[in-house]
Amino acid sequence: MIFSISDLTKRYGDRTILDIPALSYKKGAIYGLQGPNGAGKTTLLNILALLEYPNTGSVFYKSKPVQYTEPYLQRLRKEVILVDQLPLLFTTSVFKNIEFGLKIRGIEKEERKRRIAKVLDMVGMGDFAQAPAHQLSGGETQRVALASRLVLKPEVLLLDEPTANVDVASAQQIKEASLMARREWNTTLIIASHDRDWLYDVCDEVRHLFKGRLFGSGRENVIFGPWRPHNGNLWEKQLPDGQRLRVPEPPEPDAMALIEPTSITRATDTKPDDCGANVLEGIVSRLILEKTRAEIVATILIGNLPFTLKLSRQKTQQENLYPGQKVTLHYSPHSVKWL
Amino acid sequence: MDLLIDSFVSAIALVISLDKEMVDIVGVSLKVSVYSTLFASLLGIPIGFLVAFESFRGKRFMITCLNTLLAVPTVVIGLFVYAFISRRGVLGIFDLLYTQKAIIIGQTLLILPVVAAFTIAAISRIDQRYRKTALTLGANRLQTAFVIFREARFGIVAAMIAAYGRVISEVGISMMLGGNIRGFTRTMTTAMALEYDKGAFTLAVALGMVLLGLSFGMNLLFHLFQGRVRS
Repeated sequence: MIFSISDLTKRYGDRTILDIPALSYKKGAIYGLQGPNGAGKTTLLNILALLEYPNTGSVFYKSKPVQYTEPYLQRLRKEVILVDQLPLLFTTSVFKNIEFGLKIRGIEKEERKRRIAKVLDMVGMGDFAQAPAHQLSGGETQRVALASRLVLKPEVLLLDEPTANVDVASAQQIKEASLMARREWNTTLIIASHDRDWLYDVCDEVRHLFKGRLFGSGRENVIFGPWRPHNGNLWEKQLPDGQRLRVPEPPEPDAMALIEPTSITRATDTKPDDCGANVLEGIVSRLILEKTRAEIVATILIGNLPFTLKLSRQKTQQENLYPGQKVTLHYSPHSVKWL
Repeated sequence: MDLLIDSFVSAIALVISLDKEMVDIVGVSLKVSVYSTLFASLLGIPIGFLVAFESFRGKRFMITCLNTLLAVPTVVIGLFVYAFISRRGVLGIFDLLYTQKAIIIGQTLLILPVVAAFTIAAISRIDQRYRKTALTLGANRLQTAFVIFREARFGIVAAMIAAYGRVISEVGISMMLGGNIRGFTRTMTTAMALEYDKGAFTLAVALGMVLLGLSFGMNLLFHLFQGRVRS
Protein backbone atom coordinates (compact mmCIF):
# COMPACT_ATOMS: atom_id res chain seq x y z
CA MET A 1 0.00 0.00 0.00
CA ILE A 2 1.30 3.45 -0.83
CA PHE A 3 -1.19 5.19 1.47
CA SER A 4 -3.43 3.98 4.22
CA ILE A 5 -5.53 5.77 6.77
CA SER A 6 -6.94 4.52 10.03
CA ASP A 7 -9.50 6.12 12.34
CA LEU A 8 -8.96 9.53 10.81
CA THR A 9 -11.02 12.54 11.81
CA LYS A 10 -10.63 16.15 10.78
CA ARG A 11 -12.54 18.97 12.42
CA TYR A 12 -12.80 22.67 11.75
CA GLY A 13 -14.02 24.09 15.05
CA ASP A 14 -16.99 21.98 16.15
CA ARG A 15 -17.68 20.70 12.65
CA THR A 16 -16.40 17.26 11.71
CA ILE A 17 -15.23 17.43 8.11
CA LEU A 18 -13.86 13.90 7.80
CA ASP A 19 -14.49 10.70 9.68
CA ILE A 20 -12.79 7.79 7.95
CA PRO A 21 -12.24 4.55 9.89
CA ALA A 22 -10.08 2.94 7.19
CA LEU A 23 -8.90 3.69 3.67
CA SER A 24 -6.02 2.40 1.59
CA TYR A 25 -4.48 3.05 -1.80
CA LYS A 26 -2.29 0.67 -3.76
CA LYS A 27 0.84 1.77 -5.59
CA GLY A 28 0.30 2.52 -9.28
CA ALA A 29 -3.50 2.34 -9.22
CA ILE A 30 -5.98 5.04 -10.18
CA TYR A 31 -8.58 6.02 -7.60
CA GLY A 32 -11.61 8.23 -7.99
CA LEU A 33 -13.20 10.29 -5.29
CA GLN A 34 -16.77 11.38 -5.76
CA GLY A 35 -19.14 13.41 -3.68
CA PRO A 36 -21.09 16.63 -3.59
CA ASN A 37 -19.47 19.99 -2.81
CA GLY A 38 -18.60 20.23 0.87
CA ALA A 39 -18.35 16.44 1.26
CA GLY A 40 -14.72 16.73 2.39
CA LYS A 41 -12.95 15.72 -0.84
CA THR A 42 -10.54 18.67 -0.84
CA THR A 43 -9.77 18.22 2.85
CA LEU A 44 -9.01 14.54 2.30
CA LEU A 45 -6.73 15.40 -0.63
CA ASN A 46 -5.00 18.08 1.45
CA ILE A 47 -4.37 15.54 4.20
CA LEU A 48 -3.03 13.02 1.70
CA ALA A 49 -0.88 15.81 0.19
CA LEU A 50 0.50 16.39 3.70
CA LEU A 51 -0.63 19.99 3.64
CA GLU A 52 -3.12 19.51 6.49
CA TYR A 53 -2.96 17.21 9.46
CA PRO A 54 -5.76 15.07 10.89
CA ASN A 55 -7.11 15.78 14.38
CA THR A 56 -7.11 12.11 15.27
CA GLY A 57 -6.05 8.88 13.59
CA SER A 58 -3.04 7.98 11.52
CA VAL A 59 -1.89 8.30 7.96
CA PHE A 60 0.62 5.74 6.69
CA TYR A 61 2.79 6.39 3.66
CA LYS A 62 4.59 3.33 2.28
CA SER A 63 3.50 1.54 5.46
CA LYS A 64 5.26 4.02 7.74
CA PRO A 65 3.24 6.42 9.93
CA VAL A 66 3.48 10.02 8.77
CA GLN A 67 5.21 12.21 11.34
CA TYR A 68 3.86 15.72 11.37
CA THR A 69 7.20 17.47 11.65
CA GLU A 70 8.20 19.95 8.98
CA PRO A 71 11.44 18.26 7.74
CA TYR A 72 9.67 14.87 7.49
CA LEU A 73 6.69 16.36 5.66
CA GLN A 74 8.98 18.24 3.27
CA ARG A 75 10.67 14.99 2.33
CA LEU A 76 7.36 13.24 1.64
CA ARG A 77 5.95 16.22 -0.26
CA LYS A 78 8.69 15.68 -2.82
CA GLU A 79 6.91 12.42 -3.71
CA VAL A 80 3.24 13.26 -3.09
CA ILE A 81 2.02 16.24 -5.06
CA LEU A 82 -1.35 17.98 -5.34
CA VAL A 83 -2.91 19.90 -8.20
CA ASP A 84 -5.42 22.35 -6.75
CA GLN A 85 -8.91 22.82 -8.11
CA LEU A 86 -8.08 26.43 -8.98
CA PRO A 87 -4.30 26.39 -9.22
CA LEU A 88 -2.22 29.54 -9.11
CA LEU A 89 0.91 30.06 -11.13
CA PHE A 90 3.76 32.25 -9.93
CA THR A 91 3.93 35.61 -11.71
CA THR A 92 6.79 34.65 -13.95
CA SER A 93 7.16 32.65 -17.17
CA VAL A 94 5.62 29.23 -17.77
CA PHE A 95 9.14 27.78 -17.96
CA LYS A 96 10.16 29.16 -14.56
CA ASN A 97 6.93 27.94 -13.00
CA ILE A 98 7.67 24.39 -14.09
CA GLU A 99 11.33 24.76 -13.21
CA PHE A 100 10.58 25.68 -9.57
CA GLY A 101 10.09 22.13 -8.27
CA LEU A 102 13.05 20.82 -10.29
CA LYS A 103 15.37 23.46 -8.85
CA ILE A 104 14.26 22.55 -5.34
CA ARG A 105 15.20 18.95 -6.08
CA GLY A 106 18.63 20.03 -7.33
CA ILE A 107 18.13 18.82 -10.91
CA GLU A 108 20.83 20.10 -13.27
CA LYS A 109 20.07 22.81 -15.81
CA GLU A 110 20.25 20.71 -18.99
CA GLU A 111 18.13 17.97 -17.46
CA ARG A 112 15.64 20.62 -16.30
CA LYS A 113 15.35 21.99 -19.85
CA ARG A 114 14.87 18.53 -21.32
CA ARG A 115 12.20 17.52 -18.82
CA ILE A 116 10.33 20.82 -19.11
CA ALA A 117 10.20 20.55 -22.92
CA LYS A 118 8.86 17.01 -22.65
CA VAL A 119 6.21 17.77 -20.07
CA LEU A 120 5.02 20.89 -21.92
CA ASP A 121 4.46 18.68 -24.95
CA MET A 122 2.55 16.21 -22.78
CA VAL A 123 0.02 18.90 -21.83
CA GLY A 124 -0.05 20.46 -25.30
CA MET A 125 1.72 23.67 -24.25
CA GLY A 126 4.98 23.21 -26.15
CA ASP A 127 4.93 26.74 -27.60
CA PHE A 128 4.23 28.47 -24.30
CA ALA A 129 7.53 28.01 -22.43
CA GLN A 130 8.41 31.71 -22.35
CA ALA A 131 4.84 33.01 -22.07
CA PRO A 132 3.99 35.01 -18.92
CA ALA A 133 2.05 32.56 -16.73
CA HIS A 134 -0.45 35.16 -15.50
CA GLN A 135 -1.66 35.84 -19.04
CA LEU A 136 -2.82 32.26 -19.66
CA SER A 137 -6.46 31.20 -19.84
CA GLY A 138 -8.03 29.03 -17.14
CA GLY A 139 -7.52 25.82 -19.11
CA GLU A 140 -3.92 26.69 -19.97
CA THR A 141 -3.21 27.57 -16.34
CA GLN A 142 -4.57 24.20 -15.23
CA ARG A 143 -2.41 22.42 -17.84
CA VAL A 144 0.76 24.30 -16.80
CA ALA A 145 -0.02 23.56 -13.15
CA LEU A 146 -0.32 19.87 -14.03
CA ALA A 147 2.92 20.05 -16.05
CA SER A 148 4.77 21.58 -13.09
CA ARG A 149 3.77 18.50 -11.06
CA LEU A 150 4.26 15.87 -13.74
CA VAL A 151 7.79 17.09 -14.41
CA LEU A 152 8.65 15.98 -10.87
CA LYS A 153 7.63 12.37 -11.65
CA PRO A 154 5.57 12.06 -8.47
CA GLU A 155 4.91 8.78 -6.69
CA VAL A 156 1.40 9.98 -5.92
CA LEU A 157 -0.45 12.66 -7.87
CA LEU A 158 -3.56 14.09 -6.26
CA LEU A 159 -5.92 15.89 -8.62
CA ASP A 160 -8.67 18.05 -7.15
CA GLU A 161 -11.39 18.60 -9.75
CA PRO A 162 -8.80 18.87 -12.54
CA THR A 163 -11.35 19.37 -15.31
CA ALA A 164 -14.05 21.31 -13.46
CA ASN A 165 -13.16 24.77 -14.72
CA VAL A 166 -11.60 24.13 -18.10
CA ASP A 167 -12.68 23.88 -21.73
CA VAL A 168 -13.19 20.53 -23.44
CA ALA A 169 -9.82 20.56 -25.21
CA SER A 170 -7.91 21.33 -22.00
CA ALA A 171 -9.88 18.68 -20.13
CA GLN A 172 -8.87 16.12 -22.73
CA GLN A 173 -5.18 17.11 -22.49
CA ILE A 174 -5.32 16.95 -18.69
CA LYS A 175 -6.91 13.52 -18.72
CA GLU A 176 -4.38 12.13 -21.20
CA ALA A 177 -1.38 13.67 -19.42
CA SER A 178 -2.52 12.31 -16.04
CA LEU A 179 -2.85 8.80 -17.42
CA MET A 180 0.53 9.09 -19.10
CA ALA A 181 2.07 9.68 -15.65
CA ARG A 182 0.69 6.33 -14.54
CA ARG A 183 1.94 4.60 -17.67
CA GLU A 184 5.43 6.16 -17.64
CA TRP A 185 6.28 6.35 -13.93
CA ASN A 186 3.69 4.08 -12.32
CA THR A 187 2.34 7.13 -10.48
CA THR A 188 -0.61 6.49 -8.19
CA LEU A 189 -3.43 8.83 -9.19
CA ILE A 190 -6.13 9.95 -6.78
CA ILE A 191 -8.70 12.04 -8.61
CA ALA A 192 -11.57 13.99 -7.07
CA SER A 193 -14.04 14.84 -9.79
CA HIS A 194 -17.71 15.29 -10.61
CA ASP A 195 -17.02 13.76 -14.02
CA ARG A 196 -18.50 10.34 -13.18
CA ASP A 197 -18.06 8.90 -16.64
CA TRP A 198 -14.35 9.72 -16.69
CA LEU A 199 -13.82 8.31 -13.21
CA TYR A 200 -15.63 5.06 -13.95
CA ASP A 201 -13.80 4.81 -17.23
CA VAL A 202 -10.23 5.17 -15.92
CA CYS A 203 -10.29 4.38 -12.21
CA ASP A 204 -9.48 1.04 -10.71
CA GLU A 205 -11.74 2.00 -7.83
CA VAL A 206 -14.10 4.87 -7.10
CA ARG A 207 -15.00 5.92 -3.57
CA HIS A 208 -17.95 8.06 -2.63
CA LEU A 209 -17.47 10.67 0.08
CA PHE A 210 -20.50 12.13 1.70
CA LYS A 211 -20.58 14.44 4.73
CA GLY A 212 -17.03 13.39 5.50
CA ARG A 213 -17.75 9.65 5.43
CA LEU A 214 -16.78 7.14 2.80
CA PHE A 215 -19.31 4.74 1.45
CA GLY A 216 -19.82 2.54 -1.54
CA SER A 217 -18.49 2.83 -5.02
CA GLY A 218 -20.19 6.07 -5.95
CA ARG A 219 -22.74 4.35 -8.19
CA GLU A 220 -25.35 4.54 -5.42
CA ASN A 221 -28.48 6.58 -5.98
CA VAL A 222 -28.55 9.44 -3.50
CA ILE A 223 -31.92 11.15 -3.21
CA PHE A 224 -32.22 14.41 -1.38
CA GLY A 225 -35.21 15.31 0.82
CA PRO A 226 -37.44 16.87 1.94
CA TRP A 227 -39.75 13.94 2.66
CA ARG A 228 -43.42 14.18 3.67
CA PRO A 229 -45.45 11.63 5.61
CA HIS A 230 -47.66 9.50 3.34
CA ASN A 231 -49.45 6.88 5.41
CA GLY A 232 -48.46 4.35 8.01
CA ASN A 233 -44.71 4.16 8.12
CA LEU A 234 -44.27 5.35 4.56
CA TRP A 235 -42.99 8.81 3.62
CA GLU A 236 -42.81 10.24 0.13
CA LYS A 237 -41.20 12.79 -2.17
CA GLN A 238 -43.08 14.10 -5.17
CA LEU A 239 -41.02 14.21 -8.35
CA PRO A 240 -41.43 17.03 -10.94
CA ASP A 241 -43.49 14.75 -13.21
CA GLY A 242 -45.98 13.96 -10.41
CA GLN A 243 -44.71 10.48 -9.58
CA ARG A 244 -44.08 9.75 -5.92
CA LEU A 245 -41.04 8.17 -4.45
CA ARG A 246 -41.96 6.23 -1.31
CA VAL A 247 -39.53 5.40 1.44
CA PRO A 248 -39.63 4.19 5.04
CA GLU A 249 -39.75 6.83 7.78
CA PRO A 250 -36.60 8.99 7.52
CA PRO A 251 -34.58 9.99 10.60
CA GLU A 252 -35.37 13.61 9.72
CA PRO A 253 -37.49 15.19 6.96
CA ASP A 254 -34.41 16.49 5.10
CA ALA A 255 -32.45 13.23 5.32
CA MET A 256 -30.82 11.82 2.21
CA ALA A 257 -31.84 8.41 0.99
CA LEU A 258 -29.46 5.94 -0.58
CA ILE A 259 -30.56 3.12 -2.86
CA GLU A 260 -28.02 0.62 -4.16
CA PRO A 261 -28.09 0.11 -7.96
CA THR A 262 -28.47 -3.62 -7.31
CA SER A 263 -31.69 -2.97 -5.35
CA ILE A 264 -33.41 -1.51 -8.40
CA THR A 265 -34.89 -3.82 -10.98
CA ARG A 266 -37.12 -3.52 -14.00
CA ALA A 267 -40.75 -3.93 -12.99
CA THR A 268 -41.25 -6.78 -15.43
CA ASP A 269 -38.98 -8.85 -13.22
CA THR A 270 -40.74 -8.15 -9.96
CA LYS A 271 -44.34 -7.97 -8.93
CA PRO A 272 -45.08 -4.45 -7.64
CA ASP A 273 -46.58 -4.18 -4.19
CA ASP A 274 -50.33 -3.74 -3.99
CA CYS A 275 -50.45 0.02 -3.74
CA GLY A 276 -47.81 0.44 -6.43
CA ALA A 277 -45.87 2.58 -4.02
CA ASN A 278 -42.42 1.81 -5.33
CA VAL A 279 -43.01 1.41 -9.02
CA LEU A 280 -41.75 4.28 -11.14
CA GLU A 281 -41.75 5.04 -14.84
CA GLY A 282 -38.77 6.58 -16.56
CA ILE A 283 -36.72 6.84 -19.74
CA VAL A 284 -33.37 5.17 -20.39
CA SER A 285 -30.92 8.05 -20.82
CA ARG A 286 -27.57 6.24 -20.95
CA LEU A 287 -26.03 2.81 -21.08
CA ILE A 288 -22.37 2.58 -20.08
CA LEU A 289 -20.11 -0.44 -20.19
CA GLU A 290 -18.34 -0.90 -16.84
CA LYS A 291 -14.54 -0.84 -16.89
CA THR A 292 -14.54 -4.55 -15.97
CA ARG A 293 -16.73 -5.08 -19.09
CA ALA A 294 -18.88 -7.50 -17.10
CA GLU A 295 -21.83 -5.20 -16.48
CA ILE A 296 -23.79 -2.39 -18.04
CA VAL A 297 -24.64 0.66 -15.95
CA ALA A 298 -27.99 2.06 -17.02
CA THR A 299 -29.11 5.57 -16.11
CA ILE A 300 -32.88 6.00 -16.05
CA LEU A 301 -34.38 9.47 -15.80
CA ILE A 302 -37.43 9.53 -13.55
CA GLY A 303 -38.90 13.02 -13.42
CA ASN A 304 -35.43 14.46 -14.20
CA LEU A 305 -33.93 12.46 -11.33
CA PRO A 306 -31.23 10.07 -12.61
CA PHE A 307 -31.45 6.53 -11.22
CA THR A 308 -28.63 4.08 -11.77
CA LEU A 309 -29.01 0.34 -11.99
CA LYS A 310 -26.61 -2.39 -12.98
CA LEU A 311 -27.44 -5.12 -15.46
CA SER A 312 -25.45 -7.95 -16.92
CA ARG A 313 -24.51 -7.56 -20.59
CA GLN A 314 -26.60 -10.59 -21.38
CA LYS A 315 -29.67 -9.21 -19.65
CA THR A 316 -29.31 -5.85 -21.34
CA GLN A 317 -29.23 -7.63 -24.66
CA GLN A 318 -32.19 -9.87 -23.78
CA GLU A 319 -34.33 -6.95 -22.70
CA ASN A 320 -33.27 -4.98 -25.72
CA LEU A 321 -32.61 -1.83 -23.72
CA TYR A 322 -31.77 1.32 -25.64
CA PRO A 323 -31.56 5.05 -24.77
CA GLY A 324 -34.93 6.74 -25.13
CA GLN A 325 -36.84 3.59 -24.21
CA LYS A 326 -39.60 3.87 -21.58
CA VAL A 327 -39.09 1.50 -18.65
CA THR A 328 -40.76 0.77 -15.34
CA LEU A 329 -38.56 0.33 -12.29
CA HIS A 330 -39.19 -1.27 -8.98
CA TYR A 331 -37.32 -1.04 -5.71
CA SER A 332 -38.03 -2.37 -2.30
CA PRO A 333 -38.52 0.35 0.34
CA HIS A 334 -36.58 -1.90 2.70
CA SER A 335 -33.49 -1.42 0.58
CA VAL A 336 -33.46 2.33 1.27
CA LYS A 337 -30.68 3.41 3.60
CA TRP A 338 -30.45 6.79 5.28
CA LEU A 339 -27.40 9.04 5.34
CA MET B 1 -1.73 86.25 -7.21
CA ASP B 2 1.11 88.27 -8.78
CA LEU B 3 3.36 87.18 -5.94
CA LEU B 4 2.70 83.56 -6.70
CA ILE B 5 3.13 83.94 -10.46
CA ASP B 6 6.34 86.02 -10.07
CA SER B 7 7.73 83.49 -7.59
CA PHE B 8 6.79 80.67 -9.91
CA VAL B 9 8.52 82.24 -12.93
CA SER B 10 11.65 83.03 -10.90
CA ALA B 11 11.59 79.53 -9.45
CA ILE B 12 11.53 77.96 -12.90
CA ALA B 13 14.56 80.08 -13.84
CA LEU B 14 16.29 78.93 -10.64
CA VAL B 15 15.61 75.28 -11.39
CA ILE B 16 16.78 75.60 -15.00
CA SER B 17 19.96 77.41 -13.98
CA LEU B 18 20.68 74.67 -11.41
CA ASP B 19 21.36 77.23 -8.69
CA LYS B 20 24.19 75.92 -6.49
CA GLU B 21 22.45 76.57 -3.18
CA MET B 22 19.34 74.83 -4.43
CA VAL B 23 21.33 71.88 -5.77
CA ASP B 24 23.16 71.53 -2.42
CA ILE B 25 19.88 71.54 -0.52
CA VAL B 26 18.35 68.97 -2.86
CA GLY B 27 21.50 66.84 -2.48
CA VAL B 28 21.26 66.85 1.34
CA SER B 29 17.55 66.02 1.18
CA LEU B 30 18.08 63.16 -1.23
CA LYS B 31 21.01 61.77 0.74
CA VAL B 32 19.27 61.65 4.12
CA SER B 33 15.98 60.43 2.62
CA VAL B 34 17.63 57.65 0.63
CA TYR B 35 19.67 56.49 3.63
CA SER B 36 16.72 56.57 6.02
CA THR B 37 14.51 54.73 3.49
CA LEU B 38 17.25 52.16 3.00
CA PHE B 39 17.80 51.56 6.72
CA ALA B 40 14.06 51.51 7.46
CA SER B 41 13.57 49.00 4.62
CA LEU B 42 16.39 46.77 5.83
CA LEU B 43 14.70 46.62 9.23
CA GLY B 44 11.03 47.12 8.36
CA ILE B 45 10.64 44.65 5.49
CA PRO B 46 11.90 41.62 7.50
CA ILE B 47 9.83 42.71 10.51
CA GLY B 48 6.72 43.14 8.35
CA PHE B 49 7.37 39.88 6.55
CA LEU B 50 7.83 37.88 9.74
CA VAL B 51 4.73 39.39 11.35
CA ALA B 52 2.63 38.61 8.26
CA PHE B 53 4.13 35.19 7.48
CA GLU B 54 4.36 33.65 10.94
CA SER B 55 1.61 32.85 13.40
CA PHE B 56 2.31 33.84 16.99
CA ARG B 57 0.59 35.13 20.08
CA GLY B 58 0.09 38.88 20.10
CA LYS B 59 0.30 39.20 16.30
CA ARG B 60 -2.84 41.32 16.05
CA PHE B 61 -1.69 43.50 18.94
CA MET B 62 1.64 44.04 17.19
CA ILE B 63 -0.10 45.04 13.97
CA THR B 64 -2.32 47.47 15.90
CA CYS B 65 0.79 49.00 17.52
CA LEU B 66 2.49 49.38 14.13
CA ASN B 67 -0.63 50.99 12.66
CA THR B 68 -0.77 53.39 15.61
CA LEU B 69 2.86 54.36 15.06
CA LEU B 70 1.99 55.40 11.49
CA ALA B 71 0.36 58.49 12.95
CA VAL B 72 3.21 59.58 15.24
CA PRO B 73 4.00 63.26 14.60
CA THR B 74 7.52 64.02 13.41
CA VAL B 75 8.10 66.38 16.33
CA VAL B 76 7.49 63.53 18.80
CA ILE B 77 10.17 61.46 17.06
CA GLY B 78 12.36 64.57 17.02
CA LEU B 79 11.97 65.03 20.77
CA PHE B 80 12.49 61.34 21.46
CA VAL B 81 15.71 61.12 19.45
CA TYR B 82 16.86 64.48 20.83
CA ALA B 83 16.61 63.05 24.34
CA PHE B 84 19.06 60.32 23.34
CA ILE B 85 21.59 62.22 21.23
CA SER B 86 21.76 65.59 22.96
CA ARG B 87 24.88 66.14 25.07
CA ARG B 88 23.01 65.04 28.21
CA GLY B 89 21.54 62.00 26.46
CA VAL B 90 22.74 58.39 26.57
CA LEU B 91 24.26 58.72 23.11
CA GLY B 92 25.54 62.26 23.69
CA ILE B 93 29.18 61.18 23.48
CA PHE B 94 28.76 60.45 19.77
CA ASP B 95 28.06 64.12 19.10
CA LEU B 96 25.28 63.37 16.65
CA LEU B 97 22.97 66.31 17.24
CA TYR B 98 22.65 68.70 14.27
CA THR B 99 24.23 66.26 11.86
CA GLN B 100 22.85 64.44 8.85
CA LYS B 101 23.23 61.20 10.83
CA ALA B 102 20.80 62.56 13.43
CA ILE B 103 18.24 63.29 10.71
CA ILE B 104 18.73 59.80 9.27
CA ILE B 105 18.20 58.19 12.70
CA GLY B 106 15.02 60.21 13.31
CA GLN B 107 13.63 59.61 9.85
CA THR B 108 14.42 55.90 10.01
CA LEU B 109 12.40 55.64 13.22
CA LEU B 110 9.61 57.66 11.62
CA ILE B 111 9.19 55.39 8.61
CA LEU B 112 10.06 52.04 10.14
CA PRO B 113 6.37 51.46 11.04
CA VAL B 114 5.36 52.65 7.55
CA VAL B 115 7.57 50.08 5.83
CA ALA B 116 6.60 47.30 8.28
CA ALA B 117 2.85 48.00 8.18
CA PHE B 118 2.74 48.31 4.38
CA THR B 119 4.82 45.14 4.04
CA ILE B 120 2.37 43.30 6.31
CA ALA B 121 -0.49 44.55 4.13
CA ALA B 122 1.34 43.50 0.95
CA ILE B 123 2.14 40.00 2.26
CA SER B 124 -1.36 39.51 3.70
CA ARG B 125 -2.92 40.26 0.33
CA ILE B 126 -1.00 37.41 -1.31
CA ASP B 127 -3.29 34.47 -2.02
CA GLN B 128 -2.71 31.58 0.39
CA ARG B 129 -2.66 29.23 -2.58
CA TYR B 130 0.85 30.49 -3.46
CA ARG B 131 2.05 29.11 -0.15
CA LYS B 132 0.18 25.86 -0.73
CA THR B 133 1.61 25.59 -4.26
CA ALA B 134 5.18 26.13 -3.07
CA LEU B 135 4.74 23.55 -0.29
CA THR B 136 3.23 20.88 -2.52
CA LEU B 137 6.07 21.37 -5.01
CA GLY B 138 8.45 20.46 -2.19
CA ALA B 139 9.62 23.86 -0.98
CA ASN B 140 10.92 24.30 2.56
CA ARG B 141 9.90 27.24 4.76
CA LEU B 142 12.61 29.52 3.43
CA GLN B 143 11.83 28.72 -0.20
CA THR B 144 8.12 29.20 0.49
CA ALA B 145 8.85 32.55 2.15
CA PHE B 146 10.85 33.56 -0.91
CA VAL B 147 7.90 32.70 -3.18
CA ILE B 148 5.56 34.83 -1.07
CA PHE B 149 8.10 37.66 -1.01
CA ARG B 150 8.48 37.53 -4.78
CA GLU B 151 4.72 37.63 -5.30
CA ALA B 152 4.45 40.60 -2.91
CA ARG B 153 7.36 42.51 -4.50
CA PHE B 154 5.26 45.32 -5.96
CA GLY B 155 3.52 45.91 -2.64
CA ILE B 156 6.87 45.96 -0.86
CA VAL B 157 8.38 48.44 -3.34
CA ALA B 158 5.23 50.52 -2.90
CA ALA B 159 5.87 50.43 0.88
CA MET B 160 9.38 51.77 0.29
CA ILE B 161 8.09 54.51 -2.00
CA ALA B 162 5.45 55.54 0.54
CA ALA B 163 8.15 55.65 3.21
CA TYR B 164 10.44 57.68 0.97
CA GLY B 165 7.61 60.10 0.27
CA ARG B 166 7.06 60.52 3.99
CA VAL B 167 10.70 61.37 4.78
CA ILE B 168 11.47 63.61 1.84
CA SER B 169 8.50 65.79 2.73
CA GLU B 170 8.87 65.86 6.54
CA VAL B 171 10.13 68.97 8.27
CA GLY B 172 9.93 68.37 12.06
CA ILE B 173 12.77 65.86 12.43
CA SER B 174 15.06 67.63 9.97
CA MET B 175 14.57 70.91 11.81
CA MET B 176 14.85 69.56 15.38
CA LEU B 177 17.69 67.10 14.86
CA GLY B 178 19.45 68.70 11.88
CA GLY B 179 19.18 72.31 12.91
CA ASN B 180 18.78 73.60 9.33
CA ILE B 181 22.51 74.41 8.99
CA ARG B 182 23.23 75.84 5.54
CA GLY B 183 25.17 73.54 3.27
CA PHE B 184 25.20 70.82 5.90
CA THR B 185 21.83 69.84 7.30
CA ARG B 186 19.54 72.14 5.35
CA THR B 187 16.98 70.03 3.54
CA MET B 188 14.36 71.07 1.00
CA THR B 189 11.60 71.30 3.59
CA THR B 190 13.61 73.15 6.24
CA ALA B 191 14.88 75.55 3.57
CA MET B 192 11.32 76.16 2.38
CA ALA B 193 10.21 76.89 5.95
CA LEU B 194 13.11 79.32 6.36
CA GLU B 195 12.46 81.07 3.04
CA TYR B 196 8.81 81.44 4.02
CA ASP B 197 9.87 83.04 7.33
CA LYS B 198 12.06 85.44 5.37
CA GLY B 199 9.25 86.25 2.98
CA ALA B 200 11.42 85.12 0.03
CA PHE B 201 9.30 82.75 -1.95
CA THR B 202 11.44 82.12 -5.04
CA LEU B 203 13.73 79.44 -3.58
CA ALA B 204 10.82 77.97 -1.59
CA VAL B 205 8.69 77.56 -4.72
CA ALA B 206 11.66 76.21 -6.69
CA LEU B 207 12.34 73.62 -4.00
CA GLY B 208 8.65 72.77 -3.89
CA MET B 209 8.74 72.11 -7.64
CA VAL B 210 11.83 69.93 -7.30
CA LEU B 211 10.20 68.05 -4.41
CA LEU B 212 7.10 67.32 -6.46
CA GLY B 213 9.24 66.42 -9.46
CA LEU B 214 11.25 63.94 -7.42
CA SER B 215 8.10 62.29 -6.06
CA PHE B 216 6.62 62.12 -9.53
CA GLY B 217 9.83 60.66 -10.98
CA MET B 218 9.96 58.02 -8.25
CA ASN B 219 6.37 56.92 -8.86
CA LEU B 220 6.91 56.95 -12.62
CA LEU B 221 9.91 54.65 -12.24
CA PHE B 222 7.85 52.31 -10.06
CA HIS B 223 5.03 52.13 -12.59
CA LEU B 224 7.45 51.52 -15.44
CA PHE B 225 9.08 48.72 -13.45
CA GLN B 226 5.69 47.23 -12.58
CA GLY B 227 4.50 47.43 -16.18
CA ARG B 228 7.68 45.90 -17.58
CA VAL B 229 7.56 42.96 -15.17
CA ARG B 230 3.84 42.34 -15.70
CA SER B 231 4.18 42.32 -19.47
